[in-house]
Amino acid sequence: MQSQRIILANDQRLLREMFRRVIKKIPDFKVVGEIADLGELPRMIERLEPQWVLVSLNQDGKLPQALCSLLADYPKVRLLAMDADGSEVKIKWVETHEEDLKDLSLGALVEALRSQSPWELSVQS
Amino acid sequence: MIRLLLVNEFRLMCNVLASVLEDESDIEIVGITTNVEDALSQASESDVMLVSTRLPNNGALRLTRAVNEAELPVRVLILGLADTEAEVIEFVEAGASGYVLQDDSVDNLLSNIRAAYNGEALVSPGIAGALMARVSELAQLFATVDGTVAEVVDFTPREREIMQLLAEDMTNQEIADFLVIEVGTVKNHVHNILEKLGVSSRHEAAAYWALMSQR
Repeated sequence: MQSQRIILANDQRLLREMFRRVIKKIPDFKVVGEIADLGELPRMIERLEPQWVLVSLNQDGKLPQALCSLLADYPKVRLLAMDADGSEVKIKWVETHEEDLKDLSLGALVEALRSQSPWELSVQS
Repeated sequence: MIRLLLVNEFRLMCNVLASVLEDESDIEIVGITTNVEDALSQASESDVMLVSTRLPNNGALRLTRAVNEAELPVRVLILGLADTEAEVIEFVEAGASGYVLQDDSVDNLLSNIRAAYNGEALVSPGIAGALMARVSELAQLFATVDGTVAEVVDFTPREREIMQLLAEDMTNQEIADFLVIEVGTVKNHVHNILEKLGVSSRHEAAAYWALMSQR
């Protein structure tokens, strides 16, 4: 089974570390990188070629604009963005797709990641 | 085994926390609740309560105060604070046993849970400094108020005697037996003491006497 490669780019250390531990338990997911400074993200994406980048939502519940611009440069990458308490989750890729998910369980989040993985979509198409 | 109650409004964070904590052999998650009322009703079955600071309507602060006021034996650990001294002190004054910051590590979280269970607290040097400054500030404030009370309150020798016995945690009957007076007389004296001090419990009167004795 092909592992989905994830970079954790959340600015809150506790959240980042907890997700690292949780993802480690899921056999088809792999954390390939971890950063707190979003400025380093383009270089990490170039080097590590992730399918997913887990980031924080802004205080207003929106994605940071710099990340949206990044997706144009790296169309194979998807963003999984969440607020600090996990109440709001957004999944976004390229310019066209954005999905809001509210009050998810961890199981539902993992299923959402699996069902929307880039290689899964390419098989369907 | 540390019995832990998770208090968090959102399922995802509850699931993530539970997944992380279930790996620890000395921690057992005994419940997951999403609001203050449920947390209070389950408090007696847990040793430590891990409370999200993002509970709505200031829930974390309300819950901490309610646990403290009800004198429940559970320790309250606040999860997800920013590193601001004012916020931490507000929770400590409300009765929190500890806190975990957004930028702490998972190892810090685990250490804090274990420390809270053991009646200890882990604080950064910056927060420790702020707490010491706050204690000093409160002591000065209390000394001023206390001096005022001492000047105003005029206790009789018998009342002073009874306050001393209250401070030794004696019941009214024990005080009556000790002083060889009627228990009703003791009740009258205790009533007068509480009234003169403007406090509502013998516990508070005893604390006042303990403080006066040190002066």
